[in-house]
Amino acid sequence: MEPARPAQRNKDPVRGAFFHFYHHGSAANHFFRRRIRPAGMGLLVAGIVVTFLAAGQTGGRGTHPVFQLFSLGFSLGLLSLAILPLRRGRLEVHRELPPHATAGEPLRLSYRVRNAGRRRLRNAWLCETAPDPRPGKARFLASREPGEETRNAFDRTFSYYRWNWLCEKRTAYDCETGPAIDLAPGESRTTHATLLPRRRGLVPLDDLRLLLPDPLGFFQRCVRTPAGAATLAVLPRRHRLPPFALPGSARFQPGGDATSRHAGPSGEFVGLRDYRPGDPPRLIHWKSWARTGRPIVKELEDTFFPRHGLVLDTFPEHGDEDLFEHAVSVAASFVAAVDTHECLIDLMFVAGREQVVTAGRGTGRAETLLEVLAGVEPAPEPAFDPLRRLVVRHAEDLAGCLAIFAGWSPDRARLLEQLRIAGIEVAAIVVCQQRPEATPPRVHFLEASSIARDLMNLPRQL
Amino acid sequence: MGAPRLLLGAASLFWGGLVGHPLVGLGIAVVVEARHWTPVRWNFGETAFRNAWNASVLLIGLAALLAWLDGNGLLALARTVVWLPLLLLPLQFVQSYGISRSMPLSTFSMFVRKRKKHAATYGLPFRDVRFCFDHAFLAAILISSSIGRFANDTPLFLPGAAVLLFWALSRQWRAAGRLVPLTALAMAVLGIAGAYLGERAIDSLEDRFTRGSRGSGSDYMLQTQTAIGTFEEVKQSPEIIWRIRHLEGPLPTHLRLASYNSYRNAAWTARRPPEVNSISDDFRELTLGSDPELPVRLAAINVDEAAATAAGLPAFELRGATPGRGLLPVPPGAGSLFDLDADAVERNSLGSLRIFPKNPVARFAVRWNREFNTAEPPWEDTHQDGRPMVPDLYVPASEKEDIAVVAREIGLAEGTLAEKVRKLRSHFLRNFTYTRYLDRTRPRRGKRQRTNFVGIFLRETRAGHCEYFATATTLLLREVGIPARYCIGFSGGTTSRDRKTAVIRGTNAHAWCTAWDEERQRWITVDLTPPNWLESDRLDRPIWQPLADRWQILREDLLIWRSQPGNLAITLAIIAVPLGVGGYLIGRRLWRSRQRLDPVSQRRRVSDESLLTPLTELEKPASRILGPRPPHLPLATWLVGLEGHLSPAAPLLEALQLHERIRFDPAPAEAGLRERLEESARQLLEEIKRGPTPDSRRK
Repeated sequence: MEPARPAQRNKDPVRGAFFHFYHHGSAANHFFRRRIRPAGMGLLVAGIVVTFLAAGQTGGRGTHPVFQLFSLGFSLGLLSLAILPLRRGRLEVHRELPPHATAGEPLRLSYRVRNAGRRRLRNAWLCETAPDPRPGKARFLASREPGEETRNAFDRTFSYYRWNWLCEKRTAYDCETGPAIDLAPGESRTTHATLLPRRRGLVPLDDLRLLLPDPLGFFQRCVRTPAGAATLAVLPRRHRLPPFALPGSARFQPGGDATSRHAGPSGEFVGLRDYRPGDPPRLIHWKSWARTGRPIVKELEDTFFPRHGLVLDTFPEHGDEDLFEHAVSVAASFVAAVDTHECLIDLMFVAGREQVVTAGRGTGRAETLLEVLAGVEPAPEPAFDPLRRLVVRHAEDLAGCLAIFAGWSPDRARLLEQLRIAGIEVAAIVVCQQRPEATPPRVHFLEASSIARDLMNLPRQL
Repeated sequence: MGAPRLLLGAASLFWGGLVGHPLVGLGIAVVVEARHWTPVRWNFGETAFRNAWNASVLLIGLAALLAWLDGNGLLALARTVVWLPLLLLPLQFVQSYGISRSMPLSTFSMFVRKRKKHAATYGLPFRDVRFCFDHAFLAAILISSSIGRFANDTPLFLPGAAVLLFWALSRQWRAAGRLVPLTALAMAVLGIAGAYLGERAIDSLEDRFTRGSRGSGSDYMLQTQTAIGTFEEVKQSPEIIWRIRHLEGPLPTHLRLASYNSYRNAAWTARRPPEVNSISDDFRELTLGSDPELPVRLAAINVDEAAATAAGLPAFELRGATPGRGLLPVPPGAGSLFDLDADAVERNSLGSLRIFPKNPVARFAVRWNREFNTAEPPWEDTHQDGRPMVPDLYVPASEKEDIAVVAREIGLAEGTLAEKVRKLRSHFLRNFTYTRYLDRTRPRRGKRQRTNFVGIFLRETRAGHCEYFATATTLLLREVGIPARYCIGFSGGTTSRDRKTAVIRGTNAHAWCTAWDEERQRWITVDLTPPNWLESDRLDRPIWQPLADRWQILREDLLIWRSQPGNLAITLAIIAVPLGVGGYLIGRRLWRSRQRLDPVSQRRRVSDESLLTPLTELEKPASRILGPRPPHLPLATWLVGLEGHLSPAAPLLEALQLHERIRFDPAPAEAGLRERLEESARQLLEEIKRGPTPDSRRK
């Protein structure tokens, strides 16, 4: 964490006071927003406007329609609140979770619900509640919103935008309700809700709510419904990629049983030879055996699979955590785009210790890499040397390397240089806030604000 | 989810009727509802939404400026709100005719747009709240209807508003069963009852807390009554109320707004002559002059036209804002009013003049003479018990003792009217102090304090402002047989150096007595407030007052200029031309960029038998189990997914085969094929409604 400048240190007590205000204010906001429906919000806003108008009315004679309108809105609001406690529902719910979801892509969650109450349940919805996204005080004071230095002094002092950014960043998902529930007592049905995961990782689903609006639709009860705690693995967001060729030629790897799904050679026909014990019977060439009187087998070309390294930079600079998330997304995009039936991918990074995860033919599925990427966290301290050693150790096996950096710095440039000196064919993709003037060769810069567009502009040969 | 069909149209007509502009309401209704019958649409994006909002803001600002220039002051806000549906029509247009059925909140807020831009620049997450403007438009219609011109006069406002509101809420009850709408209806009835009760409650609260504080802000009340202390509130205002321009002769010392002849418990009221049935009957229109080329209104009583309009009479011009049915300040001896453009000017028996103005700012000239009367002489009336009395001589019993003692002490019973006035003036000057800074502007609320208010002033406090002196003078003169009345109006004023103009401010508000001179058969002004009141009342004006004065003068002169014949057309042209040009440019651009609804969505509405089969009806109920059908997936292929959710006996496969044959088999369909499919579809629908089978639950 950067030491705070004197001016900022002076503002910390002020921000500390604001933190408590934002902390409690957000809780109150969350509480009311879940219980006041859009019609109720409209009623409140209209009520404020009508109050001001009514205050300007002079009295004296006859009816006052403004007063009537105000009283009508007030009465309806009061009645809605009064009738709300009468709305009840008891459900037994079982979630049907898919194995994983993807950040940024909507997910349809199915629920098997049974009406455990004695009355028919209508006009109700199920909704998941995301975990509390509010940051702690230390985190709030230590964090810097990207671009915060461009804000005016008022905004920098009050730091409301920082608070907002942290909450948005930490919000696990948004939930949209599905169709209304309509169940007779004891009846069961399947319903659904739509989840939009906003960030990768393991997302707890442990707060399912039953929404019960009043007949007028102004307010609603938000009743906690037991459904068992569950965890959803959210894979990183992935972007479309253009056709590309990873760095390095196809260096041959010994194929065969160890790394292939097929038993024995499976390439093109080369010729015929005498049978040797252990040859699979399917390779016997029956016509030749009939002609020669001894077993003859077909000889096929051995197939070899290139092995690519995908090096992930897990040491973002302080304040560049968002760049790290983008880098993970870019890495996931490549993992998803590469055909692991025809090659192997070694995902290499340092997170506490050196980690290598391989996916490819017979070794593991690409989903495994995605699941690893879903859980990777930035390292507290830079460790470029261990990373370099890790990659160099595997250099012999690698056809080439693609490094994905969260930011650009002399350390990273040195790492690339060292890998090249070690004989590894390496290219780099750098996620940054702003593209630098001069770009080294085989280093491609992506701006954080336009990742998807910049990815589509990558050259074919990385 | 938008508003139900025809709701906004009905609401617009409702608004048009209540504000007195039915054709405008009809026009708005046609514009907003025509989207249901025309396929024309535009692909409005965020820029279009913002432009529409900017257009609405511009229109609102223009409307507020015009309303404010019209002299409405703070009421300009209400006048602008009345026109909200028309002013917000650009926004509703882009909502109704846009392909997108919602608009982002960033349309309305520069702060949200800045946040969005910042987030886009730095790749940060951002959630843009979107909403359908239909409901906001409906709310604007209801609010503006409530302050419409005719809203007060009709009992239909509340039921109409309630119907519209519930119509808007009814959409959510579609799938909610019978109980919810019935409950909502019950709540509606209770809500309407609550609205009536609430209105009564607010009305009585307002009446309780604002009673007696209306002052000259409510001229209608001042025509018939005034409480001691209310004028003090007017005196606080440094604003210009009237401007005087000297025409001929001296300027009057007093300009009277109203007179009162009946006093009780620290309040004066205007008691009408016994032959007049009501207050409104007491006000009669002034006689017009005989020369149609010269619009003159004769104000004086028992004075012929020639005398009242004689060229040598002192004359001056008045300019000022005229509240509707408000009082005109004129000298007690006003003879005639000319160049006054009004629907009517009326005078009551006590000489108060009220105007029904045509324009928010009046300009007129007055000829006057001290010898003239605008008020009737004292008349006889009777007490409630039938005893005769003269209202202008009546002293209330609660004050009689104190008044009599003081009159005796001064020796007021002897002498002529002039001598009596001299004695009173001397008594006040020697023994009384003028002050506005009492601990309260009104008499204490205790019973004794209010009923004995004048006695306390004369014998105990001996300090007060003009209303105290005026009331005491009136009652003392009555005690000694001089008919007297209480008057309010203006006196003093700031005269310019060349003495050609004078400005009357709120600080010049004044009260005095008028006494009947039996000898000369006229009312004379008796102002016994110590003369130092003029200096005492010079409040420190705020530093921006000169600027406010200039702005007010400019506004009033502009309004007077605008009301001149021929100038109104110029004003309208100045406003209408840019609006017209802007409207033409926008219309031309819209015409060129119009689109028609997507033919695919139109095709869906085609009821050609070859495209629809009974199985098509299953799409909606099946979507509750399978979710929405992906656009690329044929119906039959998609319905196969129901297989695991229905009982094995369900005729799903048969129905799918029949559907395929009807849709795609080029050979003519066999007889009864469609009926068989209908029967299968019906069975499938029942299965779907029953819910998934236990087997499907176990999967």
